[in-house]
Order: sequence, then C-alpha cells, then structure tokens
Amino acid sequence: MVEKYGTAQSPVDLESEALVKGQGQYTDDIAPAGALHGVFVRSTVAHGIIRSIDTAAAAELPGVLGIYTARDLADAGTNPIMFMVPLMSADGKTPVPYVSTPRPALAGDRVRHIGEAIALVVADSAGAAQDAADLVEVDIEELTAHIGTRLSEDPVEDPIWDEAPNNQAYTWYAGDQEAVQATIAASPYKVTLELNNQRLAGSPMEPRAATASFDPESGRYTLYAGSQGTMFLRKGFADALGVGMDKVHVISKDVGGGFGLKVYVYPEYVAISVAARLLGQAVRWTATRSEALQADQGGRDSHCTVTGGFDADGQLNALYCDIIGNMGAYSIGIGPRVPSSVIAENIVGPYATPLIGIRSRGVHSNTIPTSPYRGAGRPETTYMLERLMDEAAIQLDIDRVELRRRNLIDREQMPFTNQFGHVYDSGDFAAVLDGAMASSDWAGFEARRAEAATRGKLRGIGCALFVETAGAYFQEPLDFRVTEDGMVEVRVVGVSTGQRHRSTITHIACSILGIPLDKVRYIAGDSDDVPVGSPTVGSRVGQMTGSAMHIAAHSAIERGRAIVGHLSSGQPNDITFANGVYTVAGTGETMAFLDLPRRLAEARAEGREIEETLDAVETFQSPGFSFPNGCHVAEVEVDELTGEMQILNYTAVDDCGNVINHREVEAQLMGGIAQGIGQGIMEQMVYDESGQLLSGSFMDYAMPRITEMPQAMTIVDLPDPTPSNPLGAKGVGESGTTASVSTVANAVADALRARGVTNLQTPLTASRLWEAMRTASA
Amino acid sequence: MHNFEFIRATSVAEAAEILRDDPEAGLLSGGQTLLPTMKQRLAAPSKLVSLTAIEALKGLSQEGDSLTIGGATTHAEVAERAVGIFPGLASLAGRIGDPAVRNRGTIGGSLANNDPAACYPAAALACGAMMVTDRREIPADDYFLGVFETALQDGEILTAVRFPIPEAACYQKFIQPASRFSMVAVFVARFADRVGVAVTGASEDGVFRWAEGEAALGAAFTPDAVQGLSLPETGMITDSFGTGAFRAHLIPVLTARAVTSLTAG
Repeated sequence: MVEKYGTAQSPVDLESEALVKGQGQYTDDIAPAGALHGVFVRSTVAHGIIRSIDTAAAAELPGVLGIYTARDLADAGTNPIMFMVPLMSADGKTPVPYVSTPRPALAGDRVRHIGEAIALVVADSAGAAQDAADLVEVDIEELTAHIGTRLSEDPVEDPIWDEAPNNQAYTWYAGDQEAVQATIAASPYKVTLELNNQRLAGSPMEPRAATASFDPESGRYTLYAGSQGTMFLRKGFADALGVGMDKVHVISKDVGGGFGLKVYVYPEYVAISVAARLLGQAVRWTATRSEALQADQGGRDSHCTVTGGFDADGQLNALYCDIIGNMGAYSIGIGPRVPSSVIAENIVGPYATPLIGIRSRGVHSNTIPTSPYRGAGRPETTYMLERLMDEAAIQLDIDRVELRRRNLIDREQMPFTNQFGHVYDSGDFAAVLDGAMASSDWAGFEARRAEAATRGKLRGIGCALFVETAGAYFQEPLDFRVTEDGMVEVRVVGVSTGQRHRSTITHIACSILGIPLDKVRYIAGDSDDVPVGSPTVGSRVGQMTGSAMHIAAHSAIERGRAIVGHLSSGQPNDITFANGVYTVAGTGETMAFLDLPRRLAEARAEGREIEETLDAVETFQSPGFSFPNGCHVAEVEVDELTGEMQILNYTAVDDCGNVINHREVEAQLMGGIAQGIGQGIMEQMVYDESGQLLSGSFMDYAMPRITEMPQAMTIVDLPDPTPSNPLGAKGVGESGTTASVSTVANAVADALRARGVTNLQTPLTASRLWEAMRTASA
Repeated sequence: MHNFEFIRATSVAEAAEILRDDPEAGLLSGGQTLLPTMKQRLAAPSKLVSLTAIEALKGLSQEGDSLTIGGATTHAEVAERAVGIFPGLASLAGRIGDPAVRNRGTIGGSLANNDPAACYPAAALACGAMMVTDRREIPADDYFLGVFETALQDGEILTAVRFPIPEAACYQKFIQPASRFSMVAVFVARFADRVGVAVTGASEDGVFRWAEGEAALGAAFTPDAVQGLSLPETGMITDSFGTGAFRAHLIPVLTARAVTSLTAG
C-alpha cells in the first residue's frame, strides 16, 4: 500500500516557526554557563615549515588558562585525522592507492594551507582568548606554494607530501580506456570541451561551532557540534582522540545548513576536547565567517576535459572524461571519491552511450581540503554531459533538443543496467524532456529572442537533462517506540540541516498510524540515543529513513494487532485497524494504538504474561541507488554592452518519484537551484599564487541573493515511482544543484553564440561575458 | 574587537579636544566601515568619539542653489529629505548598502573614509562640493587624494558638505556582486555652465573626474557624445569581479546611461 502523502494531506511544517522566531537550539545557544572560550591561531602562510611557536607573552594575559600546540596534543595521545572512506576501483572491488595525508588537529612541523590551525588559546572570555591569540608568535619558513587545479608531469619544488613528488594524490580509471579512445577516434565527429568547476565555499548560515567536555570518571568526551548526523563525525572524533567509540558522545541539536561540510570531524573539535580534558572544564568555540571561509572544507574544484565521438546522425558512440580533482592540502572525508567514483556513478545520465571511459587524477594544493558540497560530483557530471550535448549540436548542425532525444534511454528499456553496473529501475527521460519543453514554451522562444534584440539584449535559452544517484549507504535503521503516555518516539540518524526531516518523517508515521501530528516525538542527533546509521548526505533521508519509518509503522500495526488479540476476546485476524484504532470484529470492542502500551502495562501489573511490544528497531535495506532525473530550462538575457545577465524564467520538471510533500520538494529544488546558480554566475574561492585567500569575506566571496534569482520559477513534479523502496520515492536534495549549473550555462552560451562566443567558464560574471564577446568579435 | 573607551561628544569642540589630547583616539560616525574593521581587529583606537549626538552635525539645509548636509546625517535621511532638492543625490543615498547601513552610515563618515568604491565621493567630486571642517573649507578637487586618503589633517573633523545643486544629476552604479559596493559607478551632474562627471570604484587611485567625458557632455549633453569615447585600462582595478579593461569600458557606458535617463522623455 502506498499512502497518498502528497495529495491527501496539507503541507506539514512542524519546525520552521520556532527556528525563524529565534527559538532554535543551535550549538552556540546551548553552550553551558561557565564554558571556557577557545580561539585558534591560524596560519597566515600557505606552505611552510614551522620554526617556532612562542606563547609566552600570550600566556601571561589575565584570563588565559591554557595554550595548546601540536606537542600538547601528541602528549595527550591524539592521532592525526585520516581520510575515512577508501577510494575503490570502478567495480568497487579493489582499493585504489592514494597518498596518505595525516591531518593534525594542530599543525606541528608544517603548515599546508592558509587558515590551518596552529595553536589553541583557551581563556575565561572570548575577548581574552582573542587578545592572547594575537600575541602568539609563529615563525614559519615559507616553502613554494602550490595553487590551482593542474597537474605537473614532473616533480615540483617543495611538494606538499614527500610521497607525491608532483603533488599527485591518486590516479583512478573507469571503463575500457582503449576501446573508448579507439571508438572516439573512429567516429566521424569528435567534440571536445574543457570545463572548469571552480572552488566554492559551502557557507552554511550557521557557522561551525562546538562545545567539548570530558568526564574523568567515565573517561568519556562529550561534543556538541552541528552535524548532518553524528555517526561519521563520532567515528573520526574517537579515532583522532585515540579512544574507543564508547568513549565519545556527540550531540547535534538544530543545525543551520550543512551542504556536505558538516559530516566529518574537524581539527578544531579534537583540539578543544583535549583542552577540556586537560583543564577539567568545558571549552567552546564558534567560527567567525572569516574562519569559515579559511577552514570549512571546500567544494567542487575540478577541471575536466570531456570528449565525445558522435555519428553524423548525432548518436554518441563513446564518451571520455579526463578529470583533475583538487584535493586541497589533505584528502578528507570522501574527498577523492567526488571527482572519481561519484562521476562514474552518474556519468551515464539519461543517454544510451555504448562506451564511457574516465581517468581521474587527484592533485594536492596548498588550499583547504575539498570534500562534498551539495551534489558532490553530480553537478560536475551533468555539466560535462550537457555542455557537450550543446556543443555537439552546433558542430553537427542538429537541433540540440533533437540531438538529446536521439540518445535517450527509452522508458521501455527499464530496468536498464548501465555501463557501470547501476540499475535504473524507472525514469521516463523523454517525458521529463517533453514536459520541460512544454512548460517553458521552448517552441515560442525565437519570438522572445527577437523582441529582446530590439532592446539591446541577447536572449538565450538552455536546457539540461540529468539522471543522478540518490540514497547512498543502502541501509538505514529507525528505532520505533510507543511510550505509556501515548507518544510515538522515533529515533533516527540523519540530522536536519534545514530539510524539515521531522515534518516529513512525522507526516509518514501519522499517515500510516492514523494519529495526530503532535503525538510523535522525533529524536535525532544524539549519538547515545539513536541507532547506528548514516548521516544526511546524498539525498537519502526521505527515501531511506522515510522507508524505514514506513516499515516500522506498518510492522507496529501488526504487532499491535497481536497485542489487541491478547487484551481482548478477538483473534488477530478478526481485528481491523483504521484511523489509529483497532476494532474487534463481532464484539465491536475498540482500542486505540497509542493506548496499547498503557493497557499492556496494566495487564502485566495484573500478572498477565504478554511478550509482545510495539517497539522495534526496523532497518530499511535498499537494493541500490534511486535515480532522480529531470529536465530544467533557463531563459536569460545578457546586456550586449555590459555583459550584465538576468535569469528571467526557470523551469524544472523533475521525477523524484512519489512525492511525500510537494512543498518540501519545491523547497529543496529551489534551494538547490539557487546554489547551482551561485556556482554558475558568481561564487568563486580565489587564491593568489602565493596561496593567500582573496575571497576571505562576504565582501569578496559572492553569495547569491534574491536579486540574482530567476524572475519566475516553475516547478513541476513528474513522478515515475521507483520500486526500490516502499514509498516509491527518489531523492530530491541535490537535483536542483545538479541541473541548474548546466542549465544556466547553456542558456548563457546560447545567448552569446550569435556573437561568436564558444568558450565560457563559470562563474559567468558580467566581466567574463563582456570579455568573451569582445574576444570573439576581435 | 579590542577594548576601547566610548565617548559621546556633544559638541565639535569637545570631539576635537579629545582627538588633540590622544593621538590614538578615533572618530565614530555611523561606524559602517570602522566597526567591521575593529571587529576584524584591524583597527584598535584607544577611544572612540561618537559624533552622532552633535545636533550641529545633522540635517540638510538649502540656501539658494546650494545644499548643505551635516557630516553626521545618515544616508537614509539624505535619501528621504533631499528628494525634492537634489533628487540625484537622494537616489544615490537610497542605494547605499541596505536599510541597516543607511540608517547608521553617514555622509561625513563616507567622505572622510574615502573608500575607493564608496558612492558619495563621486557626487561630491562631480558637483565640486565644498568640504567644511572644523578648521577650514576644502574644495572637492583638493580633497580626495587617493585610496582612503583625503586632505583632512590629523584631528580635523569634517562637519558638513556643501553641494551646489545641479540642474540635473544621475548616479549610475554597477555593483560588485559580493560587497554590493560600486564596481564602477558614475555621477553625472549638469549645471548651467558645465557638466561634472566623477567615477568611483574603477581606479586604483580612487575617485576621479573624467575630464574628457565632462568636456564632451559640456559640448553636447547626449549619450552619443560619450558613447564613442574610451579610457585607458592602465590604472584601473583588476580583480576576480572584473578586469581593468572591463572597468574602463563601463565608464562611458554608465555615463551614457546617466545622460539617457536625464534626457529621456
């Protein structure tokens, strides 16, 4: 039975009001009274050898209780933070070697990027800690800094890691390289594009913050820190502290944005925890925005050369992607997987390309480590495919929509096992393409272009199709209980960083159980109190935790039926359940689901032996990824004199499977589209050649605002439900970002094509568009 | 932010005396630049002398064809009260920052700071405004000396600015997408006997008058008069938001837009 969540219920929002009224409990709000303040001394040099750290003057300031460096952490038994998830070969069977990059919580002998923490000052006030931090003197002998997403074939001066003389982090292959190259060479048309995905800063509204304490009696550390789910963080945290998992307790309350950067342990969390242990008092730290830009993991930053071999009729015979991924100074989290295996998981897209090959090489640089940022490889993959399709259409002189249509995987081919072994179990790519063409009035565009020309505007339209993976980590538990006071308690792993998980999961529970929304207690984010599962990543919570909720609620109803059988005169198969109430056939006796624990307790108090309980931990096991897909269309105008660009209309037609709550789907898509537009037109982390960060504040890092958003946005659900989970739901958290970078870039490229512009790289700033037009006309 | 002593002066004389006695003391007007700088610990004055309680430094007054604005008058006040007197300036003031900035930031603070991307310096320079201090009067042409550099001496307080009111004026701002300051902005002021054109945001030397544009518009106040002109990209700022060539290109384009908006209809 598939409940009609999206249609039968009005939108559910149990969370937003409290958050916008300032009643949230963010990490900085819940620091205990009397907690000490930590401030970090950070490197102002991108690459160098630490010659000395002088803390004497700082230590003498009133209020300063401790100053810690790498030596103190080593004495306390901490370990460097290690890359967590092995890089595996494309078939998933063999580990691929990569350079080991142990990341110290506080840099000891070497600094490898601007903003790397070198010392921690703890004082009884934030002001005192900051004053003292200013007095810590660090003497660094500068080494050659390595900046940029490029790979030298030869050894470089002062490599970042001795193990990698040319700074190369790894080499990774997918597909039959020779067959792909041979097929491309034999194809009548060979289309090549170089595409850059510039470095981005995740920039959640709530900067990272943490409060750490240590209980000497139990030997346990407690860390309050915003996260996307405490499980991966807990593992890295325990490893770095050199203790077992049972000795760390990690708690995330409300979290104001994650986007992939609040998944793993960070150096600061380890350092303040050691300080808390040594001082016997809780220590807190909250990042400033400048610190966030210097020390939060970076996003994107890869360079791709994509080549397609096409037939004269537009059939894509073979595709080759040659990628350089910038790891930053250290490989962290799943960093090396983003420009390699995630690309392979997504590169097939909606097209029946017979042969695909990938070479991915990682490069280390003297910059912040990179790791997932909303989409994490999906937007980059779509960008390669969809920019290529438009470019091929020009070179082959075939209409770009028609060219795509000729290459689509047909709905009739489902289930479709793609070249890299992933099974598309649903998805009607022609339907989403048709839907987007119709909703955007693609056919009527040329008239709009002609009208714009009379106003000195170059109008363009562009589309992007995508198929992406969602639901990573294919197993998810949910702890379901009903208390004697008649409340359902749901314990889950994935913390909401703005997705309103509580609303969605509660909505599913109440729809199945027939109980009011206020009868569910939703518990997430406390590592001691939730089952072991995976965090909010890879567009997974709706389908994974949602399916676990579905299973848990239905199985509880069945257990309840047995309990009612014990408590009444009925037999289980005579007992019906509707609207939260069991009815015993014949007698007409009724019992409410939420009353069962109380009735059970009463029965047991009377000496009855009933073993059944409503409580259970249920795990949803999915057979693999789900494949959200869609087609987005953007229409833009560029001022031919200034390069100023405005996105006029944006249309998104998406198949995210069955929709649990349309408003939530729309919110996810709009937010994702906004972030993709940010990458497309303005966001950019800029380092100079010496490794200094030029975009170190929001005065220079261009966050998109409402003024950059499309003047009109149309979002259409076109579900083709997946059979891979009981909800029929696919992911939606990343779809907007996956599609919008390409969609906007293709629209702008279309606008400028009349001016002879062929090469465009994001961010598509006015200056770049003007320079491109000027160069093309020269 | 480092510790400092806060003093709310009630007269210009009192503020000047504090500055005279303590070379480490600083003036605070709206604080929209100074306070963020202090938060970043890049400035650490011993004392901050607030000017915003000094009534003599606030408000607008029109005398004949000149408008005098007190140094501690907020952008919001100028935006609201100059509309009927000097609409081009009101429009400029109404587009500085956001409402929070406009309700705190002041014209005197902006002109004394002379940020190379600030808006007011372009208006002051294009109009040939007079900078009034507690010691003297300085013509705009002699006042703006370079990036964050003015003719103000240590301890000298900018008390007011006196604008000759142009017949028509328009400020065209091309914003830097991160800070929303001007990446290039042009103030065009047409007087009976001359046209002033001043440019902010573009030059490595800060705000400047575009003499060629002034001459061309003085001869014929039409967009075409400047459309074909060009400026050298040498000395223009290049950063991740735009090249020097782009900034140079924008100056005649924005100037023409200003003229178009003043002559349309």
